[in-house]
Amino acid sequence: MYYQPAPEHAYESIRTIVNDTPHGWLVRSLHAWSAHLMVGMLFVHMFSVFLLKAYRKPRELMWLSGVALLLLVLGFGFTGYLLPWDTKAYFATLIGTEVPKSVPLLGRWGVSLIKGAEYVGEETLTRMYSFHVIVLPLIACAVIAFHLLLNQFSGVSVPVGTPVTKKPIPFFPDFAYRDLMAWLAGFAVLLILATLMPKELGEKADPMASAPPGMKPEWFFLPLYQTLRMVPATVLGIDGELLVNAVLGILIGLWALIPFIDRNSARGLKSPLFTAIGILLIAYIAGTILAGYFT
Amino acid sequence: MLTFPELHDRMVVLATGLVMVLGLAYIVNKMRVRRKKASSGDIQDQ
Repeated sequence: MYYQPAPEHAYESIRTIVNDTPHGWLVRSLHAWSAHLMVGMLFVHMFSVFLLKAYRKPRELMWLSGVALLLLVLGFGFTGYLLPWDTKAYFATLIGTEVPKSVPLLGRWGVSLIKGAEYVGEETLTRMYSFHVIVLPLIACAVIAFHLLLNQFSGVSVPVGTPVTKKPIPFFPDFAYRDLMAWLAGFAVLLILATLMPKELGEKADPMASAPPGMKPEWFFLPLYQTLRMVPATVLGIDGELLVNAVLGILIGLWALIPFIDRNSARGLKSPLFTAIGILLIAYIAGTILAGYFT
Repeated sequence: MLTFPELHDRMVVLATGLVMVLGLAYIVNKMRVRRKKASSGDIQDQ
């Protein structure tokens, strides 16, 4: 293939793909934009499931596998970011791999598993590449299959309090046609973005240089980035980064366990508290993305 | 700044892609409407 996962060749191989390979710019651009759209659609899907309480009994496992898929997709975003080996990719990964270090016990182990060495270098690039193209896709395929299989068993959820009166629509061909129309509309948007705003390649990374000012991660990591910026270095004697990591870990755990915590929904009753939590969370995520982007 | 051949390349790709997408959408929509009519009893399958 055209891409070479080594610090001396990665950047040049991407440049060859973009400039010399027929329609290489298009393939790269489609890849990059579809990644952004996938993360965006995943958030939309997750919050629509949350606000409609579609996670309630008997779909707890579907919700759990969905949360796992969200984390996997964020993993795809993180591991794919370094691969072009340009300045932004290099320093964003350098900063990004420092953040989980403060997590007790697992932090340093996790970081060394991804980095493979003390510094972001050849080992990191080959590991990120392996995770991006082999490990994560294999896990994601299994989890997606599980998620869809559960959907086949449980069917599509209806909002709390809505009586199921209509006859269910068969997946093929009725629902498949609708799905295909939505897919074609999404593909048209992707095509317009990929051709009119192709993914740019920055300068080649220089590990010896200092990080350029104003380095920011991708938009889907901005809530974490902005929170880390807002929290002081120490809070009541506790390291600020450790505090943010601990709170984030607890929140992800609670988020995954929502179907078991929200007992009202499980009984088929309305649960306005959880609706309010969902709206607050959407507002926080949108606010921190905007604040992180514009400041 | 894009050179003219680059811009031309992109516009050709975009136009070809959109024509393909619209063509497919037209066919799928026709099949969808046909199916809808058939299931509501307007068209009896032979």
